[in-house]
Amino acid sequence: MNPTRNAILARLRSASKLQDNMVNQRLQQHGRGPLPALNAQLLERFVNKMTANSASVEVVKDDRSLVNSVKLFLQRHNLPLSLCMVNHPLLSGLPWSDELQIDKRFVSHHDLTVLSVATAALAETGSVVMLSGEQTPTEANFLPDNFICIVNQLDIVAYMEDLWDRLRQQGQTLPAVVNIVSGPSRTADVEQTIQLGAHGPRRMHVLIRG
Amino acid sequence: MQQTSKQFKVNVVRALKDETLQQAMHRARGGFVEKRRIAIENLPEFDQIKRHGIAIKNHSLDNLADYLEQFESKVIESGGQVHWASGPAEACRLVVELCKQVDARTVAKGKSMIGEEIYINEALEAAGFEAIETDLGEYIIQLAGEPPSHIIAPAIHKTKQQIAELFRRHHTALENNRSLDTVPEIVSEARGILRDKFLNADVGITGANFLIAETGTTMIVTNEGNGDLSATLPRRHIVLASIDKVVPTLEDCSSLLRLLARSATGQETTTYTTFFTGPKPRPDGSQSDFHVVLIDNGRSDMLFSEYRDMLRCIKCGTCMYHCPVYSNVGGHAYGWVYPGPMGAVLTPLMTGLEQAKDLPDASTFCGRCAEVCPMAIPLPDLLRHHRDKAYKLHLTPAGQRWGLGLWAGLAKRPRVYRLVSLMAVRLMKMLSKHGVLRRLPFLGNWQQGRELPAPGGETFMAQWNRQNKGDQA
Repeated sequence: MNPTRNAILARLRSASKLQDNMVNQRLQQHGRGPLPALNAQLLERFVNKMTANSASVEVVKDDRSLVNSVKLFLQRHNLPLSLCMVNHPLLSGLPWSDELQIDKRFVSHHDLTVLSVATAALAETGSVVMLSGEQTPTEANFLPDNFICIVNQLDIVAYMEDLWDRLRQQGQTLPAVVNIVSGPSRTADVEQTIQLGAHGPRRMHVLIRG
Repeated sequence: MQQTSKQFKVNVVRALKDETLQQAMHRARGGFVEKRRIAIENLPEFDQIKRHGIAIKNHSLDNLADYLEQFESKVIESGGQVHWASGPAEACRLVVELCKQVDARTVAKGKSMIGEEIYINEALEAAGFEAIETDLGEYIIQLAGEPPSHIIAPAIHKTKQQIAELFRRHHTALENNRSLDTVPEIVSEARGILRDKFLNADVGITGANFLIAETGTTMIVTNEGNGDLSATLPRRHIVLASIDKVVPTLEDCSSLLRLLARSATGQETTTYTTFFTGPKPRPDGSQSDFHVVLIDNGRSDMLFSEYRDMLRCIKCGTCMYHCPVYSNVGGHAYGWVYPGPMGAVLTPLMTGLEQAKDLPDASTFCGRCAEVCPMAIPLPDLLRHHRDKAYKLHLTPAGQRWGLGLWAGLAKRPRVYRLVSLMAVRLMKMLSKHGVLRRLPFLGNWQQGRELPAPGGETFMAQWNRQNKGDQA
């Protein structure tokens, strides 16, 4: 049907004298490679690494203090007390105060601050995992200047490999986009000087629901 | 882009005399080497992971056809499409066609080395599209009309002042007397300009660090988030990938990522690690569509050849910073897309040895590149194959061939060799003053800033025999 495709595959087949017929087995086993020792509890490691990645992190004990932390973050950085939040049930259920102006809608590039929810977090690298979908659109992770992200402490896993297992157990095929986000956007393309806020968020704040 | 590898020697002289370039290279040199060293020191399991990573790539290459077919069927299953191209012309034709189908005007591009390899920007522009590089480094060199000088840090050769000048010349809509003296000012201006481009782009093109056969996923790492905006906002996402990028599972990809960021930038992880699978949901409820263009461009031939190991390359670029030649002459001297040791292997393979015969010669075989390569690619050995071929094809200049022939003749006759080396050692001693040789024939300027210590008047073999006799006595 496609002559180029068939020609390439035929050439590869004739080159692969070593073909070991392990392919199907290999695809089903999901074998893990050697993993780095974490040398800390998941929460501690995650907080340390996320902070090292230039994000600010807070552990909040209940939803009232979570709402308060959002307000304090905005005040700390002299930002207007308003934000756009994604259409996620966890956010709708929070005890928002009147002090904050909350827009629940699709994020636009005019939004200065956006609030979204991470599906999981990785302790090894200090990263949050954002899955694309109606409740957590990918645009929210990249368009705003200030990105606030909520993650449940129970959703912190050790390694990326744990994430893949969790998604498989939930019977999910991968969503269109999986973003593993480790801090605010940055570039070192001008004289190797690291500058935050290249194309994505200039600031990132992570709130962990304990 | 015009390939200039043939004038490598001219390029080198120019690079060494270019003070701005020397200043930029000097700044870059130490930083990356040190950052990488620290990152690897902080991961005691690095060697173990490296061995595992090499095994993953070897296994993937051994079964490349099967994994590509698996990848293709999974992409289709998730609603995407796969296209195949044997070379640059076919790949460009496919991409141009894909852009025409959606009546595109503007194309936002994430960083893609295979895109450079096939001259995709030129093809898009020739077809009437505006193609915008969105990685800041790539954007800078696109404005300058230059090829990348490093595969990870494409604008490493540019100073802050040069970048500011470029921005002033090209961003004419902005106020002329604005300040562009600091890195934040420069980055902020680029952010503003490129944000508009993202929002208006009809097609997004990204590369792929890995393809995952298990799920039909393509993945990229970036620090800027430009690849993500290129992929997410437009209604069509085209991924360009060479066929050697495929690995079996998500777990395999995770292992390789632990090697990639540390080797490339000394980071434990890049800021964004993104996995794309099938069409993406769009704000209006529709879906963007997802196309993967798989490109061979000589790789299936490499799989047959003595250069097979080169296909393990994960394009981290660490061989460049560690190369004494690259860090002095910079990337442009190599005259094509891939510079440094990996470029000196790839360029002759992809553009022909006669176009690039000087590149494999530009090495002292110090072996540092092979030592730091996270895929343990024996780069000096591969360069040696090129030299061997150049010799056999009579591409090596007569003087060099004559010298090599003379050397070979001597080396094969131990008696004559000892005699000649004894004569040379005595002669050099006679020519020296205070144990130092200031001027030797044929070395020319090489000795302008250097002195050779004079030999002691005895050959290595003579010393060896004398000392061994002493031991036995």
